[in-house]
Amino acid sequence: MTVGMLAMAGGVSLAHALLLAGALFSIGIAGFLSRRNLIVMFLCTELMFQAVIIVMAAFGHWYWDFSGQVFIIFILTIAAAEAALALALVVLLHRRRATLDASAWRELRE
Amino acid sequence: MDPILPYIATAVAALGLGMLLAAHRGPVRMGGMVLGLGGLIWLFIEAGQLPGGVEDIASEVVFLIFALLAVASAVQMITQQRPVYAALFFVLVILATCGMLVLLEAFFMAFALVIVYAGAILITYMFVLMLAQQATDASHAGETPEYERRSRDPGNAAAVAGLFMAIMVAAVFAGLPELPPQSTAKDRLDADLALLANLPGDISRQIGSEIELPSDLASHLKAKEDGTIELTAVGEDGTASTFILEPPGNTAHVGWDLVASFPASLEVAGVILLMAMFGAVVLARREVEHAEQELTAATTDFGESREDQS
Repeated sequence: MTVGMLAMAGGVSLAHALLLAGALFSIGIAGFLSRRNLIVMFLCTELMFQAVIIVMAAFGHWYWDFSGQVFIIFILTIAAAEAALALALVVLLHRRRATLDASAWRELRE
Repeated sequence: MDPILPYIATAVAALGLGMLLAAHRGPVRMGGMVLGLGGLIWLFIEAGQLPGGVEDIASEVVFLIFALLAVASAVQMITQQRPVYAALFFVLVILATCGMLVLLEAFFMAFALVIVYAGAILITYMFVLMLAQQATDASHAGETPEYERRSRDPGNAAAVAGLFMAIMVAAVFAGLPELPPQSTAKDRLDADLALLANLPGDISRQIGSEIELPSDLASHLKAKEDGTIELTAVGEDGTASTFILEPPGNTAHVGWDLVASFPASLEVAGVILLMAMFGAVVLARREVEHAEQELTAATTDFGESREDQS
């Protein structure tokens, strides 16, 4: 089956795309709350970005409005900027404590 | 349709997720996998009865493959003990998302996602991971540190995830019947027509540059019943002729929407990227203190080597 034939097949139902996005976002939340490695926590936020990307594409396809896909471009931009800054911060924190454990910075809470 | 069933399916999937987070191996993990995937598939079956639901079995099967791949790799990613493997599983999630985008006819974004996310952003993550790993391994000799092995509060995390999913299910099941109707084939053809009227260069390339295009392109373009687009143009000898035009593709649509509808946002996005680059350089820079003698020695060496050369 070629790419063109898949697209001709009529597309995915909106409800299924939204539920898949919801599932990915929920897994991202669960990972962000339960993991203790700083870098994996940031990876989980990227997982949530993926869920939003699917929602954008699904609604854009439903209404045949290309603004949805344009917003995916902006999401990609923000994700790239966030990755650069967040990883720079992680490198900085790792230099101070020589660990990636988020609970090493517990005293920042109060 | 009983409205309580989707919430039960959500609760089952959340329970499975909690079991997966709590145990890294053994029967609990197997049970969590079965419960989680089973609950999710049950949810998909329930949602298939919604308006705008399953239209075509073939694309639904392909969707299910990509969806299960995405969810399974996402769960693997958040339960993985080694962060490098977590990043690799995230690449799988991205590939599954790209499959979804292809199914949703967003071809340009599917390729951009592979190149930018899987190619660039994930490589940055891998670099930082390995940089940090090296320093940790040196002191602990290959042992995974304790904070990787045990998840923090798996029960609460799964409960919050299940709650969010329940809200999403409520929104989908209550909101979808209220949505304005889906775009029709005519809407799509109208969008193609409107874009083609803005792309005289594209039309010239299709019909040959020797034919002069009419000044008001929009009124000379017509959509026919069979879904093709027709252009009536007058040739050099004064006879009118009609041409069948190729409709613009996904990339042309996205590109036009980007520069015609969101030019200011595009500029702001560029500024954000520049600022992020500066920020990353400033944050990650390591300040090296040079003693006075070292500096003097360095300049003297430099001067001497210059003299040697001359």
